Amino acid sequence: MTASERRPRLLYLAFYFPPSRASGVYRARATANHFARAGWDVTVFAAPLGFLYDVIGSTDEKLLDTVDPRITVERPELDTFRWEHELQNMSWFRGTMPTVSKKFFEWREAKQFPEQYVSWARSSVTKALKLHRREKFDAVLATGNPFSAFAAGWAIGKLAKIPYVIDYRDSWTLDLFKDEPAYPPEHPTWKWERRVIGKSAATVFVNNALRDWHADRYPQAADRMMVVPNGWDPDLLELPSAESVETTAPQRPLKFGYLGTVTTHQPVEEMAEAFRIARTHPDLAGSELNIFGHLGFFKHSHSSFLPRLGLDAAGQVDPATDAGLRLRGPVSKTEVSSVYADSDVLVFLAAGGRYVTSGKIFEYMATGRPIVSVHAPDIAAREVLEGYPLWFHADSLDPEKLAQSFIEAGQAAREAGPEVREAARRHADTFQRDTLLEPLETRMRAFVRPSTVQELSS
Amino acid sequence: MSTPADPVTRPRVVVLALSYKLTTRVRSYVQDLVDAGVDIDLLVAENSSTEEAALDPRVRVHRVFEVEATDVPIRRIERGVLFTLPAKAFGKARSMTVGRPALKKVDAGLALTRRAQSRVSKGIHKKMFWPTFKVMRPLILSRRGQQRLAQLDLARADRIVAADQPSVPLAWRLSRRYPGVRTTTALDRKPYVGDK
Repeated sequence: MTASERRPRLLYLAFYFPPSRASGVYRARATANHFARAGWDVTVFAAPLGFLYDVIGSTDEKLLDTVDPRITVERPELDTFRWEHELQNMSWFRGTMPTVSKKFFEWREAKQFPEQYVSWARSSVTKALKLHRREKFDAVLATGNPFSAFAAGWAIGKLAKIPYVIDYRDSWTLDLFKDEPAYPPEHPTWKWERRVIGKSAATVFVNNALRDWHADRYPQAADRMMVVPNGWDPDLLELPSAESVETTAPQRPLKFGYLGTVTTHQPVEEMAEAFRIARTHPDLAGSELNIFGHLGFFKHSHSSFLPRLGLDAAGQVDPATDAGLRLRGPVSKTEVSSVYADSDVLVFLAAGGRYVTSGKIFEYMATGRPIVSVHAPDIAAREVLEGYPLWFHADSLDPEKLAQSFIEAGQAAREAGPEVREAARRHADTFQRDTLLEPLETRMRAFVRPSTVQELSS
Repeated sequence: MSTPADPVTRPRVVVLALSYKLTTRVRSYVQDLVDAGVDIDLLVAENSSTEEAALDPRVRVHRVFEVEATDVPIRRIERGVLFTLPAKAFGKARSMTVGRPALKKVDAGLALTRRAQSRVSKGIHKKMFWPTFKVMRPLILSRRGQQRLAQLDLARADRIVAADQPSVPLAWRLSRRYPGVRTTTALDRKPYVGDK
């Protein structure tokens, strides 16, 4: 095989990869598939299956079927010390001196990288170098979290002398809910971030606000920073056909929908109060706001939410406080499309401020439905919603103003014609994952040696 | 205190909690299992471990020691050498000097030495003895706990739960002795309580 016949080889460090169904998996899956379709020979380093099945326990086998078969998936080892509960599996040292062995383990981890997945990153480096010796990689792309993947990308890049790119799928050193640094100044994380960004061939963020925050901190690397928004996956979302998107019959009460986990950071009370006010308008008479998802992240956390939503302790409608909100419970990924199809208006309830985009908004736009925003006015999601013709926002969390947005969105659900809805869909189409990933692929293609580029461009 | 386990086929769990006090986390785990009809044997370090715990009477409580400070020889010796013997020696000496004007200076010297000795003893206890003993304590409990558990039919238990760090060495030994019994550090209610 001559050099010109060789496909460029990408090593993609994506700890959460199918069959995991962690929220970050969709971006990783789409990225690997996109590069494979673009002619790259993609090898993904992902979390060990034992960790996904036995420790996390959140998997989706069907998601595995959506991974391009040309992609090679390797699963470097992860030291499961901290997740090991079975005494039978513990060594003599740990079984006899649990305190000493725990301290030793934590000390060993902390001196390498300040994160619990560092052993996976270490194994990834070893495995990558072994594979690189057999057949050379042309570039490394690492997505975080876990952010030890960035450290692994940096180490592989340094030892194998190949360019590496880091993708901030999540925020690392910035607390998105407080808009302030997540670590004290002396924390070793800062040293690592400076190191991995400083040497990376490109650093990717999910929105401009995050890019700017990092560019301010690392001005020398600012020209190598880029934005790849999250987008939506057409192959995972079954949308109602354009023809079936019709205006809602005037006689039927409107159905508003929120899909996702309700968390303590979100402006839940404002939403409930605004919807209660909006329902007094004749156009929204009898309308309901259906919440599809968990209340809080923990088993017992829902009880604190119920009064905030105007519901009684059992989650049922309390006539005295009813704001029109209805708990519909969590839905599986396969039911998501039908939830969108059954909702006349989608409610974009989001926490956080100017650095938060939320992955949900892309799917919302893809439905072509009217969207009501309930979040802080300076949220980063604005930059993707600007231009969506059925976006209704109050630029405030004042319930009166929010109520007006609910009313306008409800009216749009009844009155918006096919042209407006088509325009909404066209806007959403610009946020399909493949479209958004193209600039990244083009940029990484530029790193590849000329001999392999010939093959790509031919 | 100990009553035989029900002969019917109720699940049986042996919980080892060898910290000085029973934590809320362990207490609520034990209570949830008892409420779900599980037969519970709870092994704690000493009598005072469950003093403030208000345990369900259905829980069979076993103790490794009556009072750890007196039942463990090394702790008895340490206390004797560092605190009891010097206290007695200084007490005796000062009984001969107190109230005697001619020995006023000797008495003052003895009082000063006693204070210094007390500070040094406390320092040795805190900085040297206690850190070492903390590491050794689980091993001592493991040895003595095994003797306590010998009377229980552990081979017929469904699982043995090491509910805290000091109980790990004992649980680890038991996992080798009873490979057929699941021995774990996870306070997992699901098999007995379900997803409630």
